[in-house]
Amino acid sequence: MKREINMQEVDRKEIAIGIGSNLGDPLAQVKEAILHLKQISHLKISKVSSFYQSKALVPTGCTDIVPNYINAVAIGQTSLYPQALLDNLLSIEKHMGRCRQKKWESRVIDLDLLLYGMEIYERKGLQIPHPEMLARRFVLEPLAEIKPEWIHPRVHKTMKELAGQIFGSGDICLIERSENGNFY
Amino acid sequence: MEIFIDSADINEIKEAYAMGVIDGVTTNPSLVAKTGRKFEDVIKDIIAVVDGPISLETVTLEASSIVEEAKKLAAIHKNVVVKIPLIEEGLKAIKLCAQMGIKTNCTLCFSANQALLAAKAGATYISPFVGRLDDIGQTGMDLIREIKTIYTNYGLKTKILVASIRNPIHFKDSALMGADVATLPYHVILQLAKHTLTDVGLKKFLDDWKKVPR
Repeated sequence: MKREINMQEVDRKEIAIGIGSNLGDPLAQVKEAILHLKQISHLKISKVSSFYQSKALVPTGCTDIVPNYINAVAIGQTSLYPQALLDNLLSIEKHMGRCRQKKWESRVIDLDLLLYGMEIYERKGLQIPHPEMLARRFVLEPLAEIKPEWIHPRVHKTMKELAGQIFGSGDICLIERSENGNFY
Repeated sequence: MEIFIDSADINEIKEAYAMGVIDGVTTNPSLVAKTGRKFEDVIKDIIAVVDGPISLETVTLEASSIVEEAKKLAAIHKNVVVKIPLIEEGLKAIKLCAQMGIKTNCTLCFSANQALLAAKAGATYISPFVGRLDDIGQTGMDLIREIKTIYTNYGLKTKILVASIRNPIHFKDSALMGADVATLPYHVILQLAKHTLTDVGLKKFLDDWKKVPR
């Protein structure tokens, strides 16, 4: 007998995407990126955090003046595999004019796949949870704002706990408050 | 138009890739069988040479088992495109693959109606077989024109990958009709590069060069 195929066979995972920009008009670009995220097939963005400003991360010893970042985090549900979702994020970055080169360089837009359900995923070019998210206040605070109970699959602490514990990652300040997790 | 090589022979693939004209690879069970090597070894070699879409074919006939195969093939490498036959169960599998973001190449397409269904199901590529239609007295390239018109009419994003190309005329017509990709056997790639007048001209230049005093 043929096994029935239905929507339920395709898992849907809750995902979190970090968004950042520090070139041009960062706030407008972060908002534009969110519009692009909403266009991705098989991804439903459910909440977007408030918009925060943070100081750029630079390597030790760097004395250049680097523009501040605007950051936000979006969460949603997807049936896409992590690599397929990442490919979509990279296409948006490319479409918005970013060329990925150096780690610390300023960028028009930066989209990071932070979390994919409770999964741990390690592949060349893609690690989930995002390996540096625990050290970034501009990721943890927005995430804690919209999904405080989400447990980090490696350290087994909630986003609220992690955001409350972080030290020495620079201050962030709220620029524009999100209304019920949605900016419009 | 992108060019894929329709081969599982790593030496052919290396040669064609070295010419700088190859964007991807298509394989099928018959081509893999011809190599006499293990499937995994063949795939590993191809992935190491070509950084572009590599179509690997499923060999089951029910949607659930095709999807299971597709998941395994897609997990091999991000460039893998899963080939799925154009049958009812195949369409169901293509729909589920699209939801997971697994790229698919819907193969064994012989009619415009089939191609429209594949695009609706969410196939990344559709592979109409032109040479095999010619074999039964239908003009294979007419199918490419029809699919191109239908996909353009409705803004369907599925890419037309012309398969079963037997000669340079099929190739040129594919480009003129605006097909997205042509997949070619190695010997056809070599035919494309050849022209008698190029050979005659080259011979004359080299003969004349010998007469130049040094």
